[in-house]
Amino acid sequence: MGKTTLLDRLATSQSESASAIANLRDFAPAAPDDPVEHAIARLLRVERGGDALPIEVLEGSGAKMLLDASDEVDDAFSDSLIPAVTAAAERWPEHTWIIASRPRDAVAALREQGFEVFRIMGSRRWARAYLETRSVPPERVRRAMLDGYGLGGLMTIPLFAERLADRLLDDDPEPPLPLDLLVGEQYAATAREAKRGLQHKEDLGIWMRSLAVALELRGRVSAAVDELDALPGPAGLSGVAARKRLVDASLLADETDVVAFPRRPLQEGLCARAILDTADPSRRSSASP
Amino acid sequence: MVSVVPYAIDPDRTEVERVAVAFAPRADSPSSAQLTWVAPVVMSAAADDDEERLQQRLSSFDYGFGEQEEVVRSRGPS
Repeated sequence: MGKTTLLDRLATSQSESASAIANLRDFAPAAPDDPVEHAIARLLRVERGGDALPIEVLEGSGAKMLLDASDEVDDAFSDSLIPAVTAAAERWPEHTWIIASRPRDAVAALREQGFEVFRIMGSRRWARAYLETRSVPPERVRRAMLDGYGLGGLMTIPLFAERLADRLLDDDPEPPLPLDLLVGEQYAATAREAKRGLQHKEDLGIWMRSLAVALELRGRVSAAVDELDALPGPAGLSGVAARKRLVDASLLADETDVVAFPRRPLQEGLCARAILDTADPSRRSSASP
Repeated sequence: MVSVVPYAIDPDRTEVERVAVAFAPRADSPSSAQLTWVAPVVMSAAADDDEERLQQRLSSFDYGFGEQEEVVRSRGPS
């Protein structure tokens, strides 16, 4: 339920205006003799992965032009992106242009070009509304947000709200322990990401846990992107790819040049689990002959 | 589709809760993956709005004291 989901919802919302969506991950500058805005126009689709936008819609008015993944443009083309987007919005000004990005330099550049900036915020009120919409009984919502778990801050992350709703709807007489929920859902999410290419689904989770422990031991809550990218990744992945996978899964948050766990308890929970999973060396030595 | 479920009436209507929980959509069910959508909180961010200022405005919205007019809620389908 991040920016991509929001764009998809805007594209399919029941309004009379047409909409088109473009994945800027595929952006490449227009040919030298072509207007720069053509690089955007050729990416526009009537739906994600669908047919190209008809020219009569593009030349018309009142449509929603939704551009996703502006922060995932190939580095070699990134300097061409903002001029192309700006030129497209100026060439076809009768449409509403919405560009989604993580908080990166592109946001500031678009603001300078006259775009208004909005941010999706992790909200406790949203979390409560979400749990109630999922038909979680009010008493269980209250317990989850405040009394039993105190996970209100964590529930502002849609991934965890979604999974906690499932757990709260289970008629389990023993509610999940906060640490189990905290860590279990992180591992579950990394396992889903790992299915996209790793041979061992645990590897990405172990890499994530190592990152949490390393940060905690150094008293840090974030790492520079360059630091992380220089690390060896789990089997089958580079450090860069592992970072991107975890960001895509909302397990890491990245701002300009910095990566961190989206909430401090996520980092601390992984460390707590690592400690609990480590055999007590004194007990082991005393048991040895 | 509407399911009509009889239940034993008690003062707290606990059966209603149990039925609601039983029928509630699960995120891990493929058939219900798209059922639940709650529009996120979307906030206008001016050039001089730093992180602390945004969090203050969010807290005002979350806890219901003032400044709610500054919060924009996207109007996706409900």
